[in-house]
Amino acid sequence: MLRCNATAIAEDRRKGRKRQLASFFAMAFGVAIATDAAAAEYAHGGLVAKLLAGEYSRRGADTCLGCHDEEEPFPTLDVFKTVHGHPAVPGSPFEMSGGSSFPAGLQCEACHGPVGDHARSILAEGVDREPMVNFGDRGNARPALQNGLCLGCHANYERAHWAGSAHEAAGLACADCHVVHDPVDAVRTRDTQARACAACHRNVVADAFKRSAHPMRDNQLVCRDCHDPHGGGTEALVVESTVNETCLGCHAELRGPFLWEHAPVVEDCGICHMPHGSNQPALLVRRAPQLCQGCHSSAGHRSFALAPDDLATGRASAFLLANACLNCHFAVHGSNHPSGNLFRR
Amino acid sequence: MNRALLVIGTVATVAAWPIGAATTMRPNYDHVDTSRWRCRLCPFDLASPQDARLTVGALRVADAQPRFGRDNGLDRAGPHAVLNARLARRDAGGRYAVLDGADLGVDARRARLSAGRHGHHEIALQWHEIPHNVATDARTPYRGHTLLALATADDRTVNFATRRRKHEVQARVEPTRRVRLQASYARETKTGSQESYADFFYQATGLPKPVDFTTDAFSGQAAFTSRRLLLAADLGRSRFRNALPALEWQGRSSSGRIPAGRLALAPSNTADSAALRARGTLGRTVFSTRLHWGEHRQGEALAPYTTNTGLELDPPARMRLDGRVRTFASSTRIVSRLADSWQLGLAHRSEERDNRTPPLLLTPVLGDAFATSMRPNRAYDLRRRQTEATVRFSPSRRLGVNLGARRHTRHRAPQEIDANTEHSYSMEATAEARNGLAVSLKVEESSRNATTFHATTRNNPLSRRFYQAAREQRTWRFGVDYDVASVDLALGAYLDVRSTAYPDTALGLLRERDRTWGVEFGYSPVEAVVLSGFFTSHALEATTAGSMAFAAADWWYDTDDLTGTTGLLAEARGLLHRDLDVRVTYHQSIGRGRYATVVSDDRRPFPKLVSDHRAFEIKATYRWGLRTSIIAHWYREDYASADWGLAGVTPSAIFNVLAFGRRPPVYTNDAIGIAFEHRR
Repeated sequence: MLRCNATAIAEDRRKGRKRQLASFFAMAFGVAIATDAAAAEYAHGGLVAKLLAGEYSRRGADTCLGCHDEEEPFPTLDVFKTVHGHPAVPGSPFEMSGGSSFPAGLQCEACHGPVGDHARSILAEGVDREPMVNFGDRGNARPALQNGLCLGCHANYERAHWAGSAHEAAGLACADCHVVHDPVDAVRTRDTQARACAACHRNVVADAFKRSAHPMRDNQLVCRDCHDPHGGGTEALVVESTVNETCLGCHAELRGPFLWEHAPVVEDCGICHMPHGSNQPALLVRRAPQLCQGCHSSAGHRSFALAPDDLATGRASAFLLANACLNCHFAVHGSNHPSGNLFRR
Repeated sequence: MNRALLVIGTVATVAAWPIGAATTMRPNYDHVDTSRWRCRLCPFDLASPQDARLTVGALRVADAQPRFGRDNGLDRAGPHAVLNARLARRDAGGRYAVLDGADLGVDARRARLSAGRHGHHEIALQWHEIPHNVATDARTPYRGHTLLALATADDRTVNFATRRRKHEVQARVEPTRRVRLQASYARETKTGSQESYADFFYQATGLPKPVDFTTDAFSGQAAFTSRRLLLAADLGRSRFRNALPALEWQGRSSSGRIPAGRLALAPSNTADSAALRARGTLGRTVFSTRLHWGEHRQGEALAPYTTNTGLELDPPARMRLDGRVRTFASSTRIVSRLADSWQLGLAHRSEERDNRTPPLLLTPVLGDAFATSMRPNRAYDLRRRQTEATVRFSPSRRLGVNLGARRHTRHRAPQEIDANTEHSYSMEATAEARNGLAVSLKVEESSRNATTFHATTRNNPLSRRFYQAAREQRTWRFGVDYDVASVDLALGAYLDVRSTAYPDTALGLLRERDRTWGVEFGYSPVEAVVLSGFFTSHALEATTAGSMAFAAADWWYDTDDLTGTTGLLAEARGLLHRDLDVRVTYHQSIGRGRYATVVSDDRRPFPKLVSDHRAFEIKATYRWGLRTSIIAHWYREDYASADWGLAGVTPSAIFNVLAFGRRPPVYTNDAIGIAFEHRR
């Protein structure tokens, strides 16, 4: 007993030290975060003040391009290869016809905010140049501010449900996914979209390589075919009104309504299938009969314990081999045959 | 530890309290004077580019393997054409035309032609083919298409493969900056052959099922957008037609009375939909809603009960189902930025499925032999409601805390458990330090109850169907990323665990655990070289209980599906006097299914299910002059699999089953190609 107590005390001390160590690191991290957050917030606050002051330049983009040219590390001039830099595109930042309301036509300052004192040619020693709004995950403004500038023009049909959507709630900025100064936006390009989404949705990439998967590896099906990243107000951001409606968009042969329906099928395809990929055939979460017997337990063969010793021979093998339960009950998605009440026709 | 983190988190957030930035404000345009904006330095000539790119070449596939070319069309051994084309042009007036064609030389081709004027109108034509090659090793004694006759000669091999072809035309007009009208028409055909089964006198029979589907989809949309208001209406119709509504086959036990079995194939159907979307902004509050009405109809002619001429049964009251299902889905959300750092969200989502099919009394015939008692057709209704409240506190770009509460109810009819109510609570915190270290943590707890169980079926009354049963669920997500900008190195790791238990379930699925973890890196030692990689492990474990004695549990299934996936990429640009780019990728996905049955404490493990996939690809692009490149490409894939459900299952191996005799695929295959790319 004494030995046990001593062991317990030693264990408590060890755990106590671990807790102290963990708390120390947590505190250090917290302080670091707080300091950084305060600094970032200071910069952000300055940007907001600039936007409210509205001190736009006198010469527009000519003010900016005097310094920001192709020699910059960031290829500024590439924006002119995009619709944002096209003078004849209505509503674009570089629209020259003047037919649209601000921020259209405000050139660089349409997105990066009013120049204010940023372009002052003479700076006092040790004074940093006044910041402009920078975009992306290393941007100096909060996502809501960055997005607010983008949505000043792009708050259209596709972004109708952006506010409160999963990506907005996760603190994503538009520029976290989109690139504006490049004529090729990877997330809008079919061949590179999956890679762009995988920057966060890492496990989905792995799912595409599983035994059964939707044809995502070859980009025959891409994320945007099923999901609306801007938030459609739907579960899992699916493009149609529900998960099942989204699946039925391609698998219309399962739409029915059937004479004999199968309850989980009409409720949610995801009850039996893993849409991104599975270790089992047909994207199943488990294979038959193990999956089927999760629900079906009436007397007789539906309650048999199907063990591997039945694999080689015997009557029970019909319930395990080939398609197992589906050898007879193949029409599990519903049957339209008057004698198909057990999904056998 | 949790308490410590909570305290630290609180201190950190207070310390980083916002300075007072209004984030939803509109920039001040009062002082803008663009009268002297000339944009003399703007290279507007770049805005009217011409891009023409044509890639032509040949690719040789070493071995015919359907799985190798499952979705990319490389399923046949021998030469394949490489053909990609891109032609894009935009003029100074904002008019453009883009032709994009990819994989035009194989069955996975896709092409899109769009033309229009930015901000005014666009018309687009699309063509997309998706092959799906499943197997070429299936064997069947049947001959025929929709009338399958048993052949006396040897089995023939049959290909299970389908091909989708989708053509689409879209048109969009923007008469003003605020109004957009859009219409589209798509026709998708799916043809080929699929695996199917049916029983005949209790003899399960594998049948090659012909596929000849056509889906026509029309949609129209009108949208009005202003700064504070968005209104949009959508109308859609999707019409599915199956040219082959039934499949008949000659059974081994066929007789004069029962010449053939008959299987009903997918019935033709129609779906109509209408939707309204709206969004309004009032001060710091955004309101958005989406309402969607739908109706699915199906009136395919019903087959007779049986082909057994010895059974005399009154036909059903009508020979069509006249199936009609009305659906309604809504999503409404109010998001308010109460203060600069606080955001409150309220959301309500509903979904209804109202099966209005008129009841039809039927007398099903089992195995074309025995008439059963009369019963109505089976139709289900469903109603779901989900209400969610979220609070987001984000004092800075680098720190955010989300709290959420959700109530989710489901009502079903007619079912054993007609309603569930689930309450979920979640907390998510993200923090990022300036040195590139970012941490995120999410915890969610859910508890779902179930209404009284009604034994409406012949299931063991101790069992609960897992999608209806009471359950307790806990989800943990943890991620850490470290971005060392000074040496262009990024590291990341994550863990995602979801544990589910069904406390009221004595028979059926008892528990489930879904665990994913992964690590990744990206490193660029010099500007022209990128190395990256990831490893992901996904385990899905479950325990299911059953009873042979139709009493309490006397057997259990333990299932464990584990997949480890590795991806590596090395890319070097500008080698050999800046003319050569090389990209090497390696992917490996090793899946293992470990299943076991436990009876009377005796654990009987199944042989492992294996799917072992390895792929290596090297692609070299050599720029030969200003406009031409030579692209050499080698892709190798090794696949090995073992599946106790297929191994040794020849067509006659199983008593009472006529199987296809498919084998788990094992192969090594290569594709070597060379192509020339010309740019203008």
